[in-house]
Amino acid sequence: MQKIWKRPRVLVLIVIAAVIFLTFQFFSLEALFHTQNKAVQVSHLNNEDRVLENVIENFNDEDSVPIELEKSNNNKVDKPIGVHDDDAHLYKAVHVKKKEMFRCLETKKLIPFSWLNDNYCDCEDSSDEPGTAACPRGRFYCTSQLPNQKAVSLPSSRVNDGICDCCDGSDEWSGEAPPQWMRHKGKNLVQQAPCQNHCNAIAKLSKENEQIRKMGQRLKKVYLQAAQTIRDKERYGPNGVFYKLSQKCFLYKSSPYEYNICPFHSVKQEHFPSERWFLGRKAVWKQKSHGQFLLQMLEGDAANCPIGKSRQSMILFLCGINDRVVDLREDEKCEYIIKFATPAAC
Amino acid sequence: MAATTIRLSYYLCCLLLIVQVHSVNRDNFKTCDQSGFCKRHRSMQPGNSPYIVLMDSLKISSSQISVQLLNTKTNVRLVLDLYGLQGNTARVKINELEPLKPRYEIPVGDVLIGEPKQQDLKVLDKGAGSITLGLEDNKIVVSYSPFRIDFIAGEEPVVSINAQGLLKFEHFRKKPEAQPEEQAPANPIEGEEKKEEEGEKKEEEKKPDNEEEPGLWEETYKSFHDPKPNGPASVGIDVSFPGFENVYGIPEHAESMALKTTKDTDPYRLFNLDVFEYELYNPMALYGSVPVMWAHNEKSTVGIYWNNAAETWIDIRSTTADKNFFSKIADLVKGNTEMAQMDTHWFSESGVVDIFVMLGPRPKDVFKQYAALTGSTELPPLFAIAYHQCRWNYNDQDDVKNVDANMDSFDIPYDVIWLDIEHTNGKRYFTWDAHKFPSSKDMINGVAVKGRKMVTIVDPHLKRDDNYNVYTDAKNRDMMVKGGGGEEYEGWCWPGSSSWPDFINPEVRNWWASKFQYSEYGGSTPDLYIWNDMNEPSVFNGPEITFHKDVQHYGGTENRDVHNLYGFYVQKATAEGILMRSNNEQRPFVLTRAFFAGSQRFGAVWTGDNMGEWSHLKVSNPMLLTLNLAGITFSGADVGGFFRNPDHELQTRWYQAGSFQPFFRAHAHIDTKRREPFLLPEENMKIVREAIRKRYTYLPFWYTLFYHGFRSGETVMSPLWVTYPEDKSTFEMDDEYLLGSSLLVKPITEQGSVGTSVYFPGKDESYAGSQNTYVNAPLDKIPVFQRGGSIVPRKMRVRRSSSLMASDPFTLIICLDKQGEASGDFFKNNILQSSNADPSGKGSTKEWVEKLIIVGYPKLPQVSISQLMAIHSLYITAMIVTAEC
Repeated sequence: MQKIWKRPRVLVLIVIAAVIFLTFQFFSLEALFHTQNKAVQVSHLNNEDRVLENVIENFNDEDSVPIELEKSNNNKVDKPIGVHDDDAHLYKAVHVKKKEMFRCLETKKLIPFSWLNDNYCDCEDSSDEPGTAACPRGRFYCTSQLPNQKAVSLPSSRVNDGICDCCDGSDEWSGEAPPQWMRHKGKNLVQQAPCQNHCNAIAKLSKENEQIRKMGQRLKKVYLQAAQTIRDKERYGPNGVFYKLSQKCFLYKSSPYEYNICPFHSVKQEHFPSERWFLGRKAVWKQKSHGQFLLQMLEGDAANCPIGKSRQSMILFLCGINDRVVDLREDEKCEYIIKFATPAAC
Repeated sequence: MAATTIRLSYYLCCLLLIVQVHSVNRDNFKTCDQSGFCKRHRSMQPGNSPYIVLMDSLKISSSQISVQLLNTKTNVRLVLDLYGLQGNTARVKINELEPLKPRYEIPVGDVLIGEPKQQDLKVLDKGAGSITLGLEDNKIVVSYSPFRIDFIAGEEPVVSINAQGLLKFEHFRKKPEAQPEEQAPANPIEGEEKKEEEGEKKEEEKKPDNEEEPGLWEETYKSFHDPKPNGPASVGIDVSFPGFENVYGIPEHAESMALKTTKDTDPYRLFNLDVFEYELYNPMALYGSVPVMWAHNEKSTVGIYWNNAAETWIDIRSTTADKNFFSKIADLVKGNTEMAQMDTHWFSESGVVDIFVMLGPRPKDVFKQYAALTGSTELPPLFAIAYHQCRWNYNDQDDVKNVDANMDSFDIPYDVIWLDIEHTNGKRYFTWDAHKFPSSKDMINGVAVKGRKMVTIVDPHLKRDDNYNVYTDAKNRDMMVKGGGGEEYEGWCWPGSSSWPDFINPEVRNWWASKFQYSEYGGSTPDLYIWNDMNEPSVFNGPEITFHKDVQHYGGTENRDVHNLYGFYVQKATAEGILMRSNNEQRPFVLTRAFFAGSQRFGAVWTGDNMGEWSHLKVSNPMLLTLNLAGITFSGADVGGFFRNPDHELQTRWYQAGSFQPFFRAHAHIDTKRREPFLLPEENMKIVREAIRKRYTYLPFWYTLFYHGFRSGETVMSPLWVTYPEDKSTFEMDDEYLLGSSLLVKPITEQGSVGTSVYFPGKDESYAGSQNTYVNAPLDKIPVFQRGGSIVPRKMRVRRSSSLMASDPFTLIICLDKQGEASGDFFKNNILQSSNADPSGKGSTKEWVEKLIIVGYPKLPQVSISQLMAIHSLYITAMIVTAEC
C-alpha cells in the first residue's frame, strides 16, 4: 500500500473506483444465487398477514363456474345489458307518435328504441350503447354486482375485447376468444374470453377482508391506548395512533439489501460491505386523513443521488393485523416507497 | 439511453459527480482541424482540376463507360466508371487503376439491396473536349480537361461533379522508410504526393513542403494514437447543384431541415458517435449516418447518395452558377439573372468515390430512386406504430405490472412496455436479473394477454466474463473485433470491461441472430422484441467514445473503412434473429440508435439522448423530417426528453407532438422523476390521454402511410414541398409538416403558446391557400388539419391496445375539395405476420365501415327517421369544416 500512496492522487482514485466497481460486480454475481422470491420477510408470516389493498387480485380457480349467459340475460330487473339496476328506469321506451323511442340521457335527443345497444353510437353523450363498445365515453356496468359494494363499471371499450374484466364475465357477452397469437394461460393472468364466473371467490375475499378490517379496528384500540399519555399526539397521526410504531424498528430484507425501518425516526439501508445509507431521517406527514396515511421520511444521505436530491422514504400505512413491512421499492433513484401494514391504519 | 459521463461517474462513485456538465463536452469530439484528412481536403481551393480524362482509354458498353483519369501533376491514374441505372439514376465510381491492395467497398446486398439494374446509355455526341451521353430524358456530359461531369435534366443543368476541381484521391502507397523527423528527404512516392498537393494548393505554396501533409502515417488525438498502418487513403470530390438554393439530408445532425452553409463552421460530419447531451443547430456528428443529399427547387428535385461507410465530412457553400460554362457545353441557361448554386464537397477517410446521382425530377421520384438502391422501410407490425412506454428502468416485474395496471386504470392505451439495461444480470445481454425478473415469461404473458408486447435492450458490447456464455461462445469462435495488434479488442462500457462481436462478418451476424432463438434467449417469448443501443459503438474509454480507428474487422478491413456500418449490421443481425426465431413468420421490430443508409429495412431509429427542454422538442421535427428524407421513415424522438425533468406543460406538448410523429415512445433517464402519463396532474393527464387516444384512432391511417412508404420509398413524415414542390415558401419550413399528403401538422413547441400561425399550402383548395392563418391552440389542442380532397381512415373505438381493436369498424373522414370530391385509400393485412407470409393481400376481416364523416358538404341532407333507419349502418354525418379538417 505504501507505494501506491506515493503515486499521484489519480492512482488512488482509480483504486477506489476499482474497489467500488468490484464490489458492485460481486453483488451482481451474488444475485444469481437468489432465484427465489426477492423479498424475504423477516416477520412471522401467517394467513392473517393480508393487507387490504388489492381485493380483486387473487381468486381461487376452484370457485369458478362457466357463465350461463341466458341466466344473466334474464335478470330480475328488465334492462339492457351494461346498465346498472339503479338506472334501469332511464332505459324504458318512451312513446312518440306510437313509436318506441329512447331519450339520450343528457342530450335528450330521441332515437328509435331499437337503436339501443345496436353497436352504433347515436347519442352524443354516449348513453345509447351501455352494452357495446360503440360509444367513446360509454360505461358498462357488470351484470353481477356484489351486495353492499361500490358498483363495478368499465369503460365500454372493454366490452367484447376478448378480456374478462367483470367477475361474471358479462363484459364478454359475445363469448368470442381473442386471436390465437394473443391467447395465453397461466397463473395470475387476466382471463380471456370465453370467461369463467369467479364472483364467488371475489365475494369471499371481500368478506374476509371485511373481517380483517373489523379485527384490525379492535386491535387499533391498543395503539390508541399506548398514545394516551404522550404529548404532541398529532405528530403520530390522529390521536397518536401510530405512536406505538415509533417505539420499534422493523427489518426488511430484499437481497442484496437489508433495511431497518424505524417509523418517525429513521430508515436505513445496509449493503455489506459498503456503507450504510440513511434513506430518511426527518418525519413529516404528507397525508393523515380520509383513511390515507402517508409519512415522509426526509433528509437522508445524498451521495450518489441525482444532483440536488437527497434520499427520502415514503411510508404508506395500510390496514393489516400485524405490524410489518409489506414492500419496499425504489421506483426512482433515491426515493423509496415503503408499504407498512398495521392495525393502526384500520 | 446512454449517459456516458453520468455512468462513468456512477462507477467512480461521487468523486466525479461534481464535474457533471450540462451540455456536450466538445473536447471529446474532433473538429475538422483535429482530423488529418479533413484538414487536407478542406484546405483545397476551388480551381482547375489537375485530373484529365485519357480519351484513348475510353471503353463504351451499352450501359457503362469506363475511362482512365490522369492526375497531370503526379501521373497517378484512376479509373472512372459511369453507369446508367434504371429510374433516372446514374452511378459515378472512381477507384485507383492499380491499387497496392483492393480498396474497401461495401458488399452489394448489405446497403445496396442488390446490384442496381442498369439502363442503356446512348452516345449523343463525342467531341474532342467531351462526350455527351443520353440517359432516358437526361444528358450526361463528361468533359475531358479538366475532368468534370455535368448532368442535365431536360434543359437544365442540375448536378455537376468536380466542377470545383476538388477531386483528391489519396492512392495507397508504401510507407516511407523511417527518416529523421525534422527533414524527410523526398523519396519518389512522397515527392509525388507533394507535387499533387502543390498542384491542388496552387495559391498556397508558402509553407515548407514537409509540413504540408500532417497526419499522413499516424495521428494523435488527445491521448489516443492512431498508427494508420495503411497511410493516407482518403477520397474527396465536389458536387454542385446549379439552380438550387436548398439542400437537405445527410442525417444525423441536430440541425434545421434545410442545411446551412458551412463557411463559418466545421463541415457537417458523418461519423457514428455516442454524444452525451448533444448541442442543437450545429454540424457535429451524432449517432447515425446516411450520406444522401437532396437538392430541391420549383422545377426539380435531384440528389446524390455517397456510398461510403468511412468517416465523412461535407462542406456546403451557396454560390452562383458558372453560366459561361453551361452555355458552352449545351447551349443552356439563357437570360441575364444570376443562377443560384449549391456547392458541396464530400470527403471520406477511406474507400472509393461511389456516387449515385438521382435525377428525379419530382420529390416522390427521388425517394423511389433511392429506395431502389437501399430499400424502403419495411411495413412495421401494427403495435410498433402505437404508443410505447419506456424508462431507464422499470425495476422489476412488479414495477412492470404496476405501470401496466395504472395505464389501464387511467384508461390510457399503450402497446409496448420496455426494459432498459438494468433488467439484465449485470449488463449481460440475453440474461435477466434473477431477483428482479425471476419469471420473465409470466411477466411478458401478463401484458401479452391484453395484446401488448415487451421490448428488452440488447447491446453489442459483451461483458468479458468467462462465466457469461454469450461472451465465451463468441470468444471461442474467434468472433470478436480485434485491436490493432490482433488481440481481442477490449473497451469499457456498461458492464465494465467488454468486447464486441465483429458484425461486419456475415457469420458473426448469423451467430448473433441465432441467439434470439427461444432456446437460446431464456425467458423470452414471441411477444418480446428488441432494442439495440450503444451500437455506434459506444466505447467509454475509446477515442471520441468509440472504437480505435485501427480496430481490425473481418476481411482485413479496419474500423476506419467500415465505422458507420457497425450499428447498421447490429440491427440487421438482430432483425434477422427475430425472423429466424419465428421461421420468418414474425415481422421484426428492432429499434436502433446507430444507423446507416439502408437501416430503414430493419426497424426504427430514434434520435438518441435528447433533453427535456423546449428546444429539443422543437428540433425533433426537423431531425425527423431529415431522417424521413433520408429513407429512415420509421423514426422518433424520446417523448418528454431523455435527460432532465420536463415540466407538465412541456411534457403535455411533447406527447401531442409525439402522437403525430412516426415512432411514438416516451423514455426517461434513470435520474429523472417518474413521469408516466398517469402521474401527471389530472388536467394534463386528460390531455395526454386524449393525444395518445387520438394516435390510436389514426392507426389505420398510419399503417396505410407505412404501406405506401414500403411500396414506394415515400416519406411518412414529409416536408410540405414533397406535396407542393412548386411552393417556394415551404422550402425551409420545418416546424410544420404533412403526414402522407392528407394531414397537416403544426405541433406547438413554444412554452406558454396558446396559438400558432399555420401555413396552408396549395392554391385550389377549399380553404384560402398559400397563406398563414392564426390558429388557436390552447393546451388541449393539437393543430392538425386534413386536406380537402382527402379521405382518412380511422378507428374511433379506442381500446387498451391496438391488437384489441383488430375487429373494430372503421370511420372514414372525408374532406371534400372545391369540386366536392375526395379520394383516399387504406391498407390492411395481418398486423403481425411478415409480409412474405401474406403476399397476395387477400384475406377476410371482421372489420366494417361504421361511419363516413363528410366534411365540407354544403348542406345537411334532409332525411326522415325511417330513411335514417334504413341507412343506419352507413350513417352519413355532414359537418362544416372543423379545426381538424
